[in-house]
Amino acid sequence: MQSTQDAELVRRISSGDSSALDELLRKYGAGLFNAALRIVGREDLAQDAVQDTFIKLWNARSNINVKTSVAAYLYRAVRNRAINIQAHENSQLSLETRLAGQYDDSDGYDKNTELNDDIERALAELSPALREVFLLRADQGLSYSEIAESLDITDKSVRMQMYRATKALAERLKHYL
Amino acid sequence: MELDSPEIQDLEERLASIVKARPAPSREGVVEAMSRVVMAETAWSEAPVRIAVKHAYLRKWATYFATALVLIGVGYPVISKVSKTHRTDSRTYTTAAGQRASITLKDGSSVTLAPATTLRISGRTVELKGEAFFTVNHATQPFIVRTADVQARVLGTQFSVRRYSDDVYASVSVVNGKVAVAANTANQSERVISADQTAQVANKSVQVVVSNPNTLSWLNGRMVFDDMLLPEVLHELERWYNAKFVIGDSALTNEVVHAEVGPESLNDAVKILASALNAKVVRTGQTITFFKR
Repeated sequence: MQSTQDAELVRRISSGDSSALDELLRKYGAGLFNAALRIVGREDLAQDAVQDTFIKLWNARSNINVKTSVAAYLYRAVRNRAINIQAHENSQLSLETRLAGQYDDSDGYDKNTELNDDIERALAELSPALREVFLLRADQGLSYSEIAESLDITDKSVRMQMYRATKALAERLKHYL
Repeated sequence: MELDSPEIQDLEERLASIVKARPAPSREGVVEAMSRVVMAETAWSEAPVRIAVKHAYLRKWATYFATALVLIGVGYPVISKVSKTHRTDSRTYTTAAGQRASITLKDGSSVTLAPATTLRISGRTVELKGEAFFTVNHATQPFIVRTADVQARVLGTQFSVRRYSDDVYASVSVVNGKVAVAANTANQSERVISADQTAQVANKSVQVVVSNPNTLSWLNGRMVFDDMLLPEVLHELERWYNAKFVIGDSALTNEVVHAEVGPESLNDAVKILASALNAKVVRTGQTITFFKR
């Protein structure tokens, strides 16, 4: 699913128009930052992951070749960058432990209401892989195939993970459904 | 429930909308910061002509690109933003508060932009909002600087033009050569000013005075306040440091300031000012409030 608007931005970027790069950043920056933050757990590192991705895109502008979704391309690139950054951060914790811990206290979501509490808890209880898939769908509105492309997994496993995430969340949030 | 059944799809949709609706932290500031960094990077490789590198901390690779922009740190912050937009034959350069930038034009003329300044260049005519210093190469074609209410026509010279939207008058100060200054209205005769003269233009009339020696101190990263009222000084500093200053004590509004700041950090500048005023300072993020001690 290639949005024509995004395709036009990419075309302008490849012709050397930096304002198009800025538009693309403003359109997807917040979502990409949130996605990176879920991986690296620190705002400065998440910011780096997004910036690096856009600067790299700019430097490679003369041979950009985004055949499918620009959104999926960006999520995938930012995710890979974030994972690399994370790998460089020395930590004795396993990635999984860190993710689970950070998701709870450093994402900054407002937890005032009971509903929010329950949503956050339900999300935190999902495995990181299921959570990532579900949030790309819920928060970023990516299609199954865009998610598959972003995460470098098959459409079939996106469907399967969405199914499992949906069932788990439905069980935990049944009062609100 | 089965995979791909209508029930599970409906459930997924409802859950997604519940999850999406949870209050998320605003990312506006982060996006703005990322945009600044990315745009500063792109500026290196996009600009039209080559320039000499003037500052030691420039990235080495930047010298290999055809580059027309040199960002000069003001001591704060590290990231510089020069945003640009394009039209067919003109280019617009903008500095944010707290930033300066130098541009070299195709004919070798150069421009240094003060903070919070916008410059639109089309050929040898430039439109200015804010303040800039020009070094114009000799040429047969005139070089024209326009602001909201004044225009300066030049043939090879060094001069500065200042007209922020809230300035009382526009001013043109000449360092070398001659500049013809006129109000931007029909049938206004030009006044020619030369080195060390400043033309002040207000209400369509041009007044020529001897330049204040500190007019161009901003080029060296210094701000000299020679007996100015505190509110005016703080207004200048807001542009310079991208901070917000508040006078917390009305008794301070009539204070006359004689001070020189920069190129220190914001904190150092505030300290200098506070001690000159014998004032107390409260800082909350980028907002700085002065109280009488």
